[in-house]
Amino acid sequence: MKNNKRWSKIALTALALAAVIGTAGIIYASGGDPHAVEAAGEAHGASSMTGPHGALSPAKLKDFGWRVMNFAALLVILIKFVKKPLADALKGRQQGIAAEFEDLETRRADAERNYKEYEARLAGIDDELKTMVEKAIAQGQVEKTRIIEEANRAAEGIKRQAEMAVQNEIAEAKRRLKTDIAEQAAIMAEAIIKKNLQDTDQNKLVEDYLTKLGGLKK
Amino acid sequence: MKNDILAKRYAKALFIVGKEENALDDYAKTLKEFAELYTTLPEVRDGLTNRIYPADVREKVMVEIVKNAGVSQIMGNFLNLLAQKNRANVLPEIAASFQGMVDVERNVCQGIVITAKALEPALLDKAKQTLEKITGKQVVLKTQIDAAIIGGMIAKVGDIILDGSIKTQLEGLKESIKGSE
Repeated sequence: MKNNKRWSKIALTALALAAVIGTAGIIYASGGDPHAVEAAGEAHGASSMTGPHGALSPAKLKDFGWRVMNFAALLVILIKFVKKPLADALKGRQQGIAAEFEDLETRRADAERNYKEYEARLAGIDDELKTMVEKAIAQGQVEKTRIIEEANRAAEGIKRQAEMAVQNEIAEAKRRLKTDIAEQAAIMAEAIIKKNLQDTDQNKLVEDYLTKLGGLKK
Repeated sequence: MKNDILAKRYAKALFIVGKEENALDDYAKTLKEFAELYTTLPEVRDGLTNRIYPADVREKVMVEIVKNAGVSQIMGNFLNLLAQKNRANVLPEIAASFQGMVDVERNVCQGIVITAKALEPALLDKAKQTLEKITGKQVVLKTQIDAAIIGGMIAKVGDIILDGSIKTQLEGLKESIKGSE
């Protein structure tokens, strides 16, 4: 915002300057007689404002006086209006450039620090790599030992389970065998008893049982 | 369980009346016969309890049975009441409960002796005496033939079961063989 204001002042000053110069030109162009114009043309052609005889005419002197006043007025106006904005603009620019330099310096310092850091790291990277490889090998060894131990434990467990399963199977087989023997023995005994049991035996059995019950107390 | 509780209530009521009328045996006999009728004849059971038939029809069935059986007035009323209250299905439990009450009243208990072959009268008498000695009550003994027990006898008196059958002894033998190491 402030910058815009300053530049607008500069533009105004330049416009005023252009107006002054233009006005002076118009005055100069309209104010002189044809001789004067000619004189001016000649003066351009010659190397000075001298007349044909080498001396300055009063008209030329007057014209010169006006020109000097014009220039003086221009200088005053320029100094009055342009000095401060121009100085501010230059100062601002100077400060901007200084800040940019500072920033660049900082960035340069950072870049140099990074460079040194990476250089140092690159210098130590071989050692670092070596250490990493050694660590990886050590970890691998530890892991190998752990896996072997675990496998041994698992193998022991499987072996124990297999032994238990075998024992259980043997026990179950024994139990089944015993049950079969018992069943068969009962069937055979029943068949033998049925075949050989007489009425007298039946009576004897009942009588014996009642005698046994009779011995019981209430 | 629910039927047992109901049966006990009905049986107790009838028992009190029967005791006053001195007709416990008569009532017990009638109840037993009706319970057997109910249990053994599906038609009777159906006619007395099937809800497809209207309630008055079911009651009429009971009235007709009672009329044809020629039971006493009180017993007839009791049986008709059971039909009216839709409790004909509890008849077997009422009969059993009533018989139990009569037995307790007379210090009698019902017993059964199961044998593979028919027992000689002398042995049956001995069995009765032995069971009376054990229970301390007069035992009314029934007999049952069951060849499956092979030999020996099984006696059931009240809650007591005395098993001297060969079948059970063989089972014991079998278990002892199985259990031995």
